Amino acid sequence: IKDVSIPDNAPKELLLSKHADYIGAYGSKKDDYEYVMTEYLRMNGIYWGLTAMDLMDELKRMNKEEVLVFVKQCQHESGGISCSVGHDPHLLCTLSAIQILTLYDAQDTIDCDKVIKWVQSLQQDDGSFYGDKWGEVDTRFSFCAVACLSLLGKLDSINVDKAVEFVVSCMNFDGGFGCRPGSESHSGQIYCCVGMLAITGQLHHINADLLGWWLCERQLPSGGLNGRPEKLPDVCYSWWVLASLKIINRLQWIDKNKLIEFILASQDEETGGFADRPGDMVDPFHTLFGLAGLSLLGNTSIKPVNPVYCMPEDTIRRVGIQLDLL
Amino acid sequence: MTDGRGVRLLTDLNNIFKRDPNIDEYDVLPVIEPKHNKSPLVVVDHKLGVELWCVSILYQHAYDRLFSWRDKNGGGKFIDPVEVGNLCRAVLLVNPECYTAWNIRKECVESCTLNIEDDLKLGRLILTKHPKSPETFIHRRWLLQRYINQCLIFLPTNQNSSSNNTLIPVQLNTNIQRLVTQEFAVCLHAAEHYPCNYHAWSHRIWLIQTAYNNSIQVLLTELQKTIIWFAQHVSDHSGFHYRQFLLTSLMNQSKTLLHKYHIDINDIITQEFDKTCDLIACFPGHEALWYHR
Amino acid sequence: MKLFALSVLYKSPDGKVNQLKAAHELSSFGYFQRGSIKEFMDFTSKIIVERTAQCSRASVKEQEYICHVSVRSDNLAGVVIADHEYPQRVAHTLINRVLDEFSSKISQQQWPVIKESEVNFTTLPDHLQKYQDPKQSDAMTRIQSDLDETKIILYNTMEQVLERGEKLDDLVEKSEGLSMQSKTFYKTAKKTN
Ligand SMILES: CC(C)=CCC/C(C)=C/CC/C(C)=C/CC/C(C)=C/COP(=O)(O)OP(=O)(O)O
Repeated sequence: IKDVSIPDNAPKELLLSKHADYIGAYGSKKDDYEYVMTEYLRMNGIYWGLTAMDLMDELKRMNKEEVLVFVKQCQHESGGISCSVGHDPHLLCTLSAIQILTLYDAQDTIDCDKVIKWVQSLQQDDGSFYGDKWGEVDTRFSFCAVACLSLLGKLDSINVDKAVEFVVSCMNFDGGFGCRPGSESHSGQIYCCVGMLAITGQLHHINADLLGWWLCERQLPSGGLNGRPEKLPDVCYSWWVLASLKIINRLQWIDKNKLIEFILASQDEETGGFADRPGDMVDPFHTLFGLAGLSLLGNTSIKPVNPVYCMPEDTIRRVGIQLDLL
Repeated sequence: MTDGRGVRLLTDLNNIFKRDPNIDEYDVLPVIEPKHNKSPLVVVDHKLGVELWCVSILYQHAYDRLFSWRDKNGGGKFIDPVEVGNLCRAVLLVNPECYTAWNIRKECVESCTLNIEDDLKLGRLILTKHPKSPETFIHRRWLLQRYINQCLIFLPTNQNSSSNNTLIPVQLNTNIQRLVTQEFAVCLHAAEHYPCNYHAWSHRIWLIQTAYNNSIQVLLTELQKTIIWFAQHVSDHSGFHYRQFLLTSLMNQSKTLLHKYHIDINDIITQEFDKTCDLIACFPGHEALWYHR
Repeated sequence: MKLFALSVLYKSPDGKVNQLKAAHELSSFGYFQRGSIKEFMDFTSKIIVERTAQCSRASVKEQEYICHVSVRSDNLAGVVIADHEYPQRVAHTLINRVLDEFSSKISQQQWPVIKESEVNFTTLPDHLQKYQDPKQSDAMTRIQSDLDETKIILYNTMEQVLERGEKLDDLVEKSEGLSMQSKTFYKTAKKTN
């Protein structure tokens, strides 16, 4: 099996204040090549950073006004939101934008009715969703659509039954889900499908024991989780897998202590932040999922996180969303 | 920021593609400092190498120019369509996940300033360096779908024959055949260069579903064609999933049809089972094989 | 499942190692990388033989590769570099065969002195080709009888093979067998990983 070993000198404590400093300073060098290269992920990046900060109860350190102006600039005529100014709207960025506005309790910054209409326009006859007007179909987009609409309180503006039917048609023999009917199961796609079914109240379609078993098999001897068989462990999967297990009520099936050890070992003691695995470069993406994973694993110095939306529970409660998990 | 070097690099790159339209491989060369009097872009035997130090300069220049043109609020200087295509190409060679640059190329295809086959060629080149780039595959699906739709419009046969119940797929014209065959090769190349390549294999599944409508003939040929590959890649879980997809699709075909063509699905499954057990015995310790079994 | 390199080396009693012959199959690598990859495979083979004791066998994992090594009592050594899928026993069988054949063709007196270019031993590329498919190579069935009882030691990283205080990065930096380009290749590949 492919796996990594955790070095003896790897961090064993959670370095909260380092992480807050890391996220707080991220993006201060806007001319950096790295920063330019990741512009196609800017909206998602802001969501990762803000959510990480909020989970550490440090959201106040971020520049709210600047963020809101940016999000507003990214809404297009069509209603969709893009990753950055000058780029094209996409469901992936639109969900991040709505999440950001919800964190800040500022949904009215943009024209939400237009967002709803746009999301609605992306649904197809078979229930699936295009990611944008160009027509790619993926279960990730089904999740983005329902997550986005439910945060806006408008889930009823699409054909929910059809949407569910499509997601269920992507279920495989192993209990998992892929990106389209017939595609291989993947933890990230599973998270999207399980989350989608949770939001729509249709979790009974899942074979929780079968899926739970497949998800637990993702744990490697190092304690880390991978996204599918024969792959290396990665901190982001401690989110995709754990959240799915949590939603289907099988979290107790994995070795929590070993996973905690793996996640902690992926911190960078000097710069702050989490990497995909011990010793690699940190980034905001893995930092959010490292923290969110630890929260699900019961770390009380981090706010409780909602396993479906990957946002603080208090925020989800504020918007009045209540989901029945298994 | 206007950097003369960026302008020069972009011009050099464009000239390279003009001189040699058949560049078939691309890579970044580990050279971190410019050497005097030597171009950082080299072409050997249709392979393009770009020295590391200049990648960021080239990217920043092309990116800034492309997006200042694109930005509706930024005054929108006119750039001729060929150059737009060139700017996208420079950006995507370095960063194929920049989806908006692919979208701009889609607009060029729609307005006929770019042709589908040339654009497929660029994607194939990019996959030699970034074999699992999701956005590159997404763009290819758009191009292929468009191509197939175009061909179908000109087909005389009625559209209703496109159900699962025909052995021979919708009369595909030879152009589609050729393109899809090429596409299979692209998938295999990408799968070879990045093990467990989720995007390459799900792209192949999409092809079977979209271009061939899961026709029995194609499913059987595919099973046959990928046997060798599968024996040589015993830990490629994604490749095995592909075979499971083929088998499942066969099982879903109507019984009468299978009967009509003398296909015994149980036989096929048993054969697959035996082959897998054989491989497990020969190559112990590969998780993927067990899952497959 | 792939074999990338097959080489025969001589380890003199004072511990110095010379490559006597090598063959490579690098077509799965990018055109521009092949040169550096070849240098690195030769470099790694040499390092591993230097650190492997007489009369012993080992398999060393290094990222997506495994280096199989055997050093005989007469100081002749063989290395196979393969991927993780390639069966370990077959790799060691291949080394055995090649070393037997080599010692029957090239006399032992020559090993310490001969230059690689002068070694008249041409069958390595054929072996490398034939063993690409372990099932075709007839080795599969004969493994049990062919391989002596020497235990194969398994190392999970190159670090475990190196002596105390030694660092792979330093060895790369100091190496004379590696070109500037290959050293940069090593450094940049590490960074983007
Ligand atoms: C609200 C949150 C947290 C997320 C939004 C919902 C989305 C978009 C989730 C994405 C889930 C995800 C990671 C999907 C996986 C996509 C996929 C098939 C990746 C395979 O690519 P590789 O690069 O091979 O990845 P691995 O090597 O890790 O398998």
